[in-house]
Amino acid sequence: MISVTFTVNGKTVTVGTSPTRTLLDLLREELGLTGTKEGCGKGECGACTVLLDGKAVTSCLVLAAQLEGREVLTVEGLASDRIGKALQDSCVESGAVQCGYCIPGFLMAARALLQENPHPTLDEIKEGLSGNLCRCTGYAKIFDGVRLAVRRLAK
Amino acid sequence: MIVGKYKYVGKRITRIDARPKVDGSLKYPSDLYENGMVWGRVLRAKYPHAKIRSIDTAEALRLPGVVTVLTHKDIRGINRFGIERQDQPVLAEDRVRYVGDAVALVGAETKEIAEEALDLIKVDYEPLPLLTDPRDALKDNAIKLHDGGNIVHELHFTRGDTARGFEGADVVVEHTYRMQMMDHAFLETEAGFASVDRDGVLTIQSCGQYAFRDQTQIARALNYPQEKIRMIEPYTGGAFGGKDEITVQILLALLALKTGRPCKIWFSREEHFISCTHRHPVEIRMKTAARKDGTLVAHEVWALQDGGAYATLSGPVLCLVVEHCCGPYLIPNLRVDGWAVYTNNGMSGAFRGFGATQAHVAMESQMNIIAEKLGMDPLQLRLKNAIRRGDTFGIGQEMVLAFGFDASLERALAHPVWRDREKIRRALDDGTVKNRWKRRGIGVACSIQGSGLGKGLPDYAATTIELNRDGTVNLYQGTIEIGQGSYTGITQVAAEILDLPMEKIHFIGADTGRTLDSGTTTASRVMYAAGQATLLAARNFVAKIKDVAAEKLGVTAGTLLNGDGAVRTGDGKGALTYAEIARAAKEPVRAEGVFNIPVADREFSMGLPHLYEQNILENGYFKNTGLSTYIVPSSWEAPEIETCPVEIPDETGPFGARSVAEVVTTPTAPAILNAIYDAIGVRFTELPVTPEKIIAALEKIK
Repeated sequence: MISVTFTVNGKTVTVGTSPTRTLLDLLREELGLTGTKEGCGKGECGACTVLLDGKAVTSCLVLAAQLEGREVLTVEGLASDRIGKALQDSCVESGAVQCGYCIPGFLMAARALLQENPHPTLDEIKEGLSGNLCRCTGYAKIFDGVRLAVRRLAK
Repeated sequence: MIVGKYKYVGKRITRIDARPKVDGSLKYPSDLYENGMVWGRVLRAKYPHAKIRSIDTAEALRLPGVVTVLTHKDIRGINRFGIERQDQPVLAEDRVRYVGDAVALVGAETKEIAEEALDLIKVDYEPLPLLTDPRDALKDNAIKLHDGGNIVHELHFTRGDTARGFEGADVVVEHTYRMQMMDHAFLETEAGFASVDRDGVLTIQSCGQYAFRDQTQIARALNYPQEKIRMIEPYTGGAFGGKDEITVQILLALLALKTGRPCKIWFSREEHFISCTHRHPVEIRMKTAARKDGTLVAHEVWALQDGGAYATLSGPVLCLVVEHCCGPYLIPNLRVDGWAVYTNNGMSGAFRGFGATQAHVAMESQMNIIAEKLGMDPLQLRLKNAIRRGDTFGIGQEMVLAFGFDASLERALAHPVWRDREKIRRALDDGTVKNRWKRRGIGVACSIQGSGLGKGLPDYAATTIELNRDGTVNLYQGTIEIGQGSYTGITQVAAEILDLPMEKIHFIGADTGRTLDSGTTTASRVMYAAGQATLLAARNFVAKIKDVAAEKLGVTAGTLLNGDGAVRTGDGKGALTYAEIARAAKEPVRAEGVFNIPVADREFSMGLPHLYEQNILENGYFKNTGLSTYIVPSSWEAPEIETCPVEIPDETGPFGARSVAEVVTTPTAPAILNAIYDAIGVRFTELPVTPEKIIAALEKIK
C-alpha cells in the first residue's frame, strides 16, 4: 500500500492504495467520480480519457504510483472550465449524445485538442479524437459539436 | 410528419438525457457501487465443447476475501434461460457447448480477488468433438449438440412455380453469399448491481432491453417468486440487440440471494466478446430470374444460419431472413428454404437488422447483377419491381400501412449523385499522380423493414401519466433508452398533447416496480408503439384534469380548454393551474394509455461496420477479443452522410411517426459492395471486404 496525494478537479485528495491500482479505478471506486467510463480497460477505446497535467490520457493505463503531485481533470470538473463548458454545451446542442457512454472521453480528448490547437481543421479534429470510439453516432455529430464550440470560443 | 402546426413535435429539441450525460452525472448500470458490496466474476468454459466430469471449488473458497463460489448445484430453479427456448444453462451442469458458457460464479470482496479465485477453481473436462461447420449440422450423422438435434428452426415456402418462371426468363443469375459473424461492440460492457432486502425483495439495476422479460427469466431460472424481483433498467451504454438476451441479470440475482449482500457484476471486454450474442453468420444462395424488360419472374433462396451454441433468437432471426429474401420487390414465383442450426461457434442472436440485413446483402447484389446483364439502370430495375401500398409480397406480407418506397426511389433517381454518376466516377481519371491509383464507384441498395414484432405476437405498449402537487407531471414508460432518443421523442409527444413544457414532464423509465410492461426495446418499435401509447395516455390525462376542474369551477368539462399548465373556461374567466387541480382532486390524477400495434402483416424492417468487421473463430475459439484486434470504425472512417428524408406519415403512429432505427442501416453494406464493383469490376459475395481482399482480387485480374 502507498499513499498518494494529487489534485482532482482542483481539489487535493490523498488516498491509500496499492501502487498498481489504475487511476480509472481510483476515480470511480475511491472518489465516486463515475463520469469517467471504462470500455475496455486496455487503452483501446478512449472512454476513460481524462486530463493529466493538461494532457489527454487513458486513465486505465495510469497507475496510482504515477500520480503524486499531479493534476487530474475529469468530466465532472469540465463545466468550471471555459473550453470544457463550451464543448459540453455544443455537444448537447449538436446532437452528439446518443447512448452517451463514450461522451465523457470524447469531451476530455476534445478539451485537450482545443487547448493545444484552438482552431483545428476537420482533419485535425478527426486526428485529435481518433483514440475514442463511438458506436452510436457515426462521429459526424461529435465533429459538429466540437466545431460549434470552436466557433463560440473564437467570439 | 402529418401536416400541422406543433409546438414540440417535429421541432429540434435537446435530448432530455443529454445534459446528465455530458456532465457525467447520469448513472449507467456499471456506475453503481456500494460499500460492502460483493464483486462477482464468472468462470467461462475452457473448451468450446466438452463434458464436465467435476468442479472443485475448495481451493478457491480458501482464498482470503472470497465470499462464495457458486455452481449449478446452488441453483434451485430450471437453471436455464433463453428468450424463445430455454436451452442455455445459467451455470453449466455436465456439458459446455461454447467458450462463453458460464461454469462457476465467484463472489469476493474485491474484483482482483474474484479474478484470482477463478484460477483456483478446478474443472475436470473431457473434450468432445466439435461441430463448427453449419453445413455439417444438417447431416444425419452429425454429433448432436442438444437433445432435439441441431436444427433450431427451419422454414420452407413456395408460391407459384419457380421452374416455369425460370423457363420463360431472359436472364437467370445464381450466386452464393456469405455474411460474417459480427459483434455489437457497445461501449458499456454488460453490467448490473443487485441487492436484496429483509423481505427477500431483489432489486436489480442492470443493462437490458426488456425489464419485464428479464424479471420472468430470473424467476424461472432460479425458482424465485416473480413479484419479489424488481428490475430497473432505464439507461444503458449501447445495446444494438446485444443486450436483448439475459447477460448479467440471473447471475446477479443468484449472487445477491446467496450472499445477502449488494453485488456487482461487470463483464470485461474480452468476456463480452466470447460470451455475448453476435450477428448471425448466414450463407445465402439465390437464383433470380428476370425478363428483358426487367420484370422479376422467379426467385429461389436457400439460407443457412449459424446460431452457435444456444437458441436465443435464432428462430425469429431466420424468420426475418426468409421474410426479406425478396427485398422490397414483387416476384410472382418464389421458393425459399431456410435453416438455423446449432454449432460450437459462440452464440448469435439479435443484432440491428435482425436477419433482414443479411438477406438484403444477397438480394441487393442480385439486383445489380441483373441490371448489368439487362443493360438497365439499377434504380430503374428496382422501381419497375417495387412493391407499393396495397401489394402482397414476399412470403405473403400485406403492405397495408403508409409506405414510401417508390417515392424514395424517384427521389434517388433525381439526386445529383445518381444523375451525374458517370461524371463523378470519371472525375478521378485526370491523369494526375495523386489520382493515378484511385478508382471511384457509385453504388445503390435499398431495404425494407417494419416497426414492431410481426404478426401473431402480442405487441403493445402502455404509458402512465400522473399529476404532481407542484403542477408537474410524471411520465412512466417501461421501454429502455439505449441511445436511440426515444425518451425524448416520447416526452415530445406528451408535451404536445398536454401543451406543457418538456421540463415539466419527469420521465421515469423501465422499472418493473413503477412502469407498465411495454414490450421489448427492439424491432424498431419503441417510438411507434410507446409513442402512440403516450399520446393516448396524455389524451386520457387531459380528460381527467378537465373533469376535476369542471367540478371545481362549476362548469361542464366540455367547455374547458387545456394549455400551458392550466385549464381555462371558454370565456377565460375561470382558470385552474395544474397545481391547483392536483390539490382540488379527491384522488390522485393518473391516466393510462395502451396501444396495440395493428394486426397486419406490416413488412418488417449498422451499416458500415457490416462491410469490414468480423469475429474470427478458429475451432470454436474467438481469436480477436479486444478492440485493437476487432476493429470498429474510428473517427477517421466516419463517412459523410447526406440524408434526403421522404416523409410519408403513418396514420397509426404518434403524429404520423414511425420508428426509423434499423431499416436505414441495412442497405449500407450492399450499396458499398455495388460501388466496389462499379469502381474496379470485382464482385464480392462474401463479407467482410477488407483492403487486403481488394488487393488480392486486383492481383488476380492482372
